[in-house]
Amino acid sequence: MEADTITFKAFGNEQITPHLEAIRSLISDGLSEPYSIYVYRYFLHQWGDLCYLALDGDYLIGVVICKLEKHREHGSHRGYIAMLVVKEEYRGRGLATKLVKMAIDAMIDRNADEVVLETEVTNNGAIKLYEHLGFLRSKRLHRYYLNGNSAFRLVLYLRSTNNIHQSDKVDGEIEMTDD
Amino acid sequence: MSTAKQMANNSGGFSDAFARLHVSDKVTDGQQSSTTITSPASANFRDVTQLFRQACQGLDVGQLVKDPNFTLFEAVGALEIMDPKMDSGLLKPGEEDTHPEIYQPVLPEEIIGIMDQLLSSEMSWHDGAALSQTVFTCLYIDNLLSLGPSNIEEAKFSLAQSDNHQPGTSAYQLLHLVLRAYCVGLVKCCDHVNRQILAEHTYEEEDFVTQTYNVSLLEFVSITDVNKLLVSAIEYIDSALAPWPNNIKMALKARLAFRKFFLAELSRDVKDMVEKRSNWDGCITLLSTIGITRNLGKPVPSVFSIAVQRKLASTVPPRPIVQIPFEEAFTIVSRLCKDAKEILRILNYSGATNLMSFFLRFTARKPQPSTYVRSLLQTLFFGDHIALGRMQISQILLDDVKELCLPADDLFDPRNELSEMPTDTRYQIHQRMKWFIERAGNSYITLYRTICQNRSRLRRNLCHLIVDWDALQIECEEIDGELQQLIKEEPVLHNDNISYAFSLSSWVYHYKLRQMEWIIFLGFELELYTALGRLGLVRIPPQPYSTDALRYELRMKPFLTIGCPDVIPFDDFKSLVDNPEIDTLEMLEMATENTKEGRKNFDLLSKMSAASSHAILCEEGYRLNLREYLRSCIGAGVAIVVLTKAIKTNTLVDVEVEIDQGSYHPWFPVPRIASKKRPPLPAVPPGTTR
Repeated sequence: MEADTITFKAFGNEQITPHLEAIRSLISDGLSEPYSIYVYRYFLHQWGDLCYLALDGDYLIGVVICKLEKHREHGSHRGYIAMLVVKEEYRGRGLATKLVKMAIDAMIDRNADEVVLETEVTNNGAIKLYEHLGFLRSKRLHRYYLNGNSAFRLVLYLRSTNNIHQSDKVDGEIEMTDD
Repeated sequence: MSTAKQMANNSGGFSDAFARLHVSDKVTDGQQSSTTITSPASANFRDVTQLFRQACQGLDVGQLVKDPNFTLFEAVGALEIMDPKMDSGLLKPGEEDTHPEIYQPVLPEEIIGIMDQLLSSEMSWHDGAALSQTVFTCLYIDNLLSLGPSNIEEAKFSLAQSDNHQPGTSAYQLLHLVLRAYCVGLVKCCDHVNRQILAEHTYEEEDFVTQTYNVSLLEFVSITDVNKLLVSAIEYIDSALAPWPNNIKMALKARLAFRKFFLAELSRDVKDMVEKRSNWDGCITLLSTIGITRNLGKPVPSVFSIAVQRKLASTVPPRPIVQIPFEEAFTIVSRLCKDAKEILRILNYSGATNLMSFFLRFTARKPQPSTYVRSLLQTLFFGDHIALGRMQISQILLDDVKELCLPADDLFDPRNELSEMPTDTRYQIHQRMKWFIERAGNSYITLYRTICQNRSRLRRNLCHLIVDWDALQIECEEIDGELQQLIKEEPVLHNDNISYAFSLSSWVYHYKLRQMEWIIFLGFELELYTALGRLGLVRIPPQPYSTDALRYELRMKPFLTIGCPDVIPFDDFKSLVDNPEIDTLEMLEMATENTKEGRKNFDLLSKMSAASSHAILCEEGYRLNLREYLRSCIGAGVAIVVLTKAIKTNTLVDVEVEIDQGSYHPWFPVPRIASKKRPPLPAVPPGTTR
């Protein structure tokens, strides 16, 4: 586990990055929710450039999967961090923070107004990671996950909403996972 | 990202598709017509295999065809067959899909054990798990329900012949009368709980899972028949035919009788609750017998199996068995009975503000009252559009306005309604009050219902409600102005200003402000906020992607669209909070004064009567709440003293801070300040403020 053997790269697309199966098994082991192949393809096909991988040599050790799109018709340009996993034996070395920063930087390049995500209320490591980057807990989602655990919605404003559409100021949210 | 909500929404599955078919039929016909599903035989099919193969050849490996309308919602709802996390029918290597004979107990102790395991399953369901993880995992329940019994005779076990269970023997009766009666009673209880929860507003899969996987919860079996069965089981145990010691008989009887009483309470409608006394106390008494005889039971884990999930028509992924320990289940069911009894208090109407206080106190209790009870509370309040089983909501609404704002009597004069002449003042007053009742009445009912939601939802929903109340306030200001003229209101001099009552809009403003207050304080309760410090005791990292101003804007988001009061601009807020010109020690002195003042005022409040505190229906909870406030004041006072001392003795570097959530008011957590070298100072011991 030499630090200098660890490299980062964007997923891009499936032709240039043959890592889909490795990503699936890494996430399946690391997260409680079951995701079908469609979920991975949904993200990777449309926002492969917002998905970053951490590799030790050729071995996949971390991944962050995101999307970026208009939130409702006249809403903000909202980035969403859907999944973040680092292999257990590689944790505590700042790899997750590095992956998230790469994703946020890429979203900023693409004019994101804000970035949102959910994390389990008991996942202190993740909460700390995101709060250290500037995220705030905006709401609590009761029994959000299939296993009955609750979540915090974390939000990072990248620019003032005064500069975006006024109509999005009120949170008339429709309860969807991508919200 | 979560998959749960999607699963819930998709859980209709096949029948859902039919429902949609039905709708589209109606739309195209443009008239009321019964659904006609074309028989597959008459449809024109075309084999597209070749076409499909051909199209595939145009694709490279890794290339994807995506329908632009394919959403994340659909992606997340999809399940993969043969994936152990998603396929509930999957057999693990070595597993076989056979149905081994269900173990048939002989001992009454085993029956007691199964009954108590079933109670654990049932309460796990009440606590938020699905039936497929709880009650339905019991092989006896599965056996009872799998053929879809439509009457009490059919609601029986069909078990293999057993030498130990010849008809007429006590072992036979144990299973086919005693356990059967208990299971039938329990399923019927579940039926009524499900009906109640579906009748009111709660969040599926979040508060509760009502999904029954197309298994009928004996909905066609009458309560009378279930009662008869339970009674005959009790009579059998009482008879000389049942050859068991008295303590065993007592244990079995208490469990059966509890089912009977519990079912009777769960199946009552509001009218019945208004007219007749409840018997929750009877349930509570029987529960204590169940608790005492708990050790007589011998658990039979083998009659619960996750394999049952394979058979349930479902589009949800497999979920593990949830069976909370008996002690926990016992606590939940006991609390349910006490809470369900307590909410009946609201039927003794004693004014609107007392009613509101009750809702607020009751639902703030920790742990929060169960989904069932919060649903029942909504029904008692406004089931079938009748308030408290016998009143009009308008009366409660107007009482609330009267109790809080003391508006002019002319507005409520019953003679107003009798006037039919549009030019008449009375007529015009009545028209405006009628408008108010309709417009504000809806917001008012919604507020009560919202308070009954889980705490996370309460805060989120309030963020939406205040927008409505803000609009309502503006509309009411206009009406107030008109009413002012109609009743020729005399202004009063207030702080050298002429002022009018503006009763309706003042009332609305009051409730809007309270809701805004709740939003903020619930932020503490739900742990959305973290403390910050100017002494560097709480380390704030650089947070490279955001600024204080942006975070302030995000925090204030719920209030940004509210017309009045205005959100303070960030710079003003910053100078108010940072107080750069005030020295830290001086600020701590001010804080000491404030906590002392707080204590004094909470002391005064606790001396007031329940009536003048609008706490007639919830005095105990109200006083407990005041004591928690007081403890927070004292705790904060102690923290200030320790901090002041550390600054004065230059020992700040040795000091550690943590937020103490435990022993204080949930809205006013207190920082616990301790020396790193010494063990932490104790929190204010319980009882200090009593």
